[in-house]
Amino acid sequence: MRAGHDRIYFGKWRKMTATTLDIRRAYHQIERHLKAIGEVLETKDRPAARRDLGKAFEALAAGDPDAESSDALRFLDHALSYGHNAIDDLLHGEGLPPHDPMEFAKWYDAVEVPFKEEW
Amino acid sequence: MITLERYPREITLRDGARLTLRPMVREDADRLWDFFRRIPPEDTMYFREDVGRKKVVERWAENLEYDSVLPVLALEGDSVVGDATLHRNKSGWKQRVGTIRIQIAPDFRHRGLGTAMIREMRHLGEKAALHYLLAEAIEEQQSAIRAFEKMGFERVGLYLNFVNDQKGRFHNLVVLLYSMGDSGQATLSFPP
Repeated sequence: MRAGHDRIYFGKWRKMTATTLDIRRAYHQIERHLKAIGEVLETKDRPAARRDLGKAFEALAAGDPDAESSDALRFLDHALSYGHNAIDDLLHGEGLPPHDPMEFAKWYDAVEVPFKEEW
Repeated sequence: MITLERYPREITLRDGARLTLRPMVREDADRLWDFFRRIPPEDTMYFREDVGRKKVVERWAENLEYDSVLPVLALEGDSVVGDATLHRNKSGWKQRVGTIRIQIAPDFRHRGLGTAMIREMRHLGEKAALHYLLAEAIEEQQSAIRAFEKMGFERVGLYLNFVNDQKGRFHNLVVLLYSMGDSGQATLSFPP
């Protein structure tokens, strides 16, 4: 799930050069990714993660590229973000550290974020 | 209903630090007092009670009632490094509203413990069938506010010059709310 998240997170759809096809592909990738999280959640007692996943699917529906919403990209980003939160909740439930995509940034030739704050 | 069988449980911070989460017990009074003594004065100024007085902490330890106030401690070894409390009303018009309060030791701030404690409180809130979790923060506590927002809390109120610190200066109070739906039960709802 972590690797799946990162493949989408660092995908071409979030770059300035993204084409309509890239965005459509990302939409389907996110949909498959969220369903994979859902399958894991069915066996876990993590109600907050389920709620996050529900919000992820709501955002995904709002980001359907076929609907030609001007905010489609933002909604897709939200869907991925809620999915990330659900993954982190699952990791927390297992006593594992949260997932940080930037730890794998070099594999994706991504630029480091200049500042990151955490509480 | 919250079952506490899940405790004690271990969590791992992003930097690999392993901590134990468990409800506070009566014997924790000294540990908790040590923890509060490490909180800088600029933070304790916002506390509702004077935790610089050991009697205050001892009173909490002697009067533990998890159905009203469930304190969950984060421990590194034998030392308390975080304290999160879930406050509930057993009856009345706010019985579906839980209030959470979190304190983190200075050397554990900005390491993800605050976020982990919010996550733990969110789980307990769901298990307690609450409809809302409410958190309050002084507007200056921006990193805490952002952590709550990242966890799905929304700013629902800003009270200007609403609270005073222990030196008498007034501060804006931010109210954050996490909604768990009408039923209080999370459902897994997504397309087939």
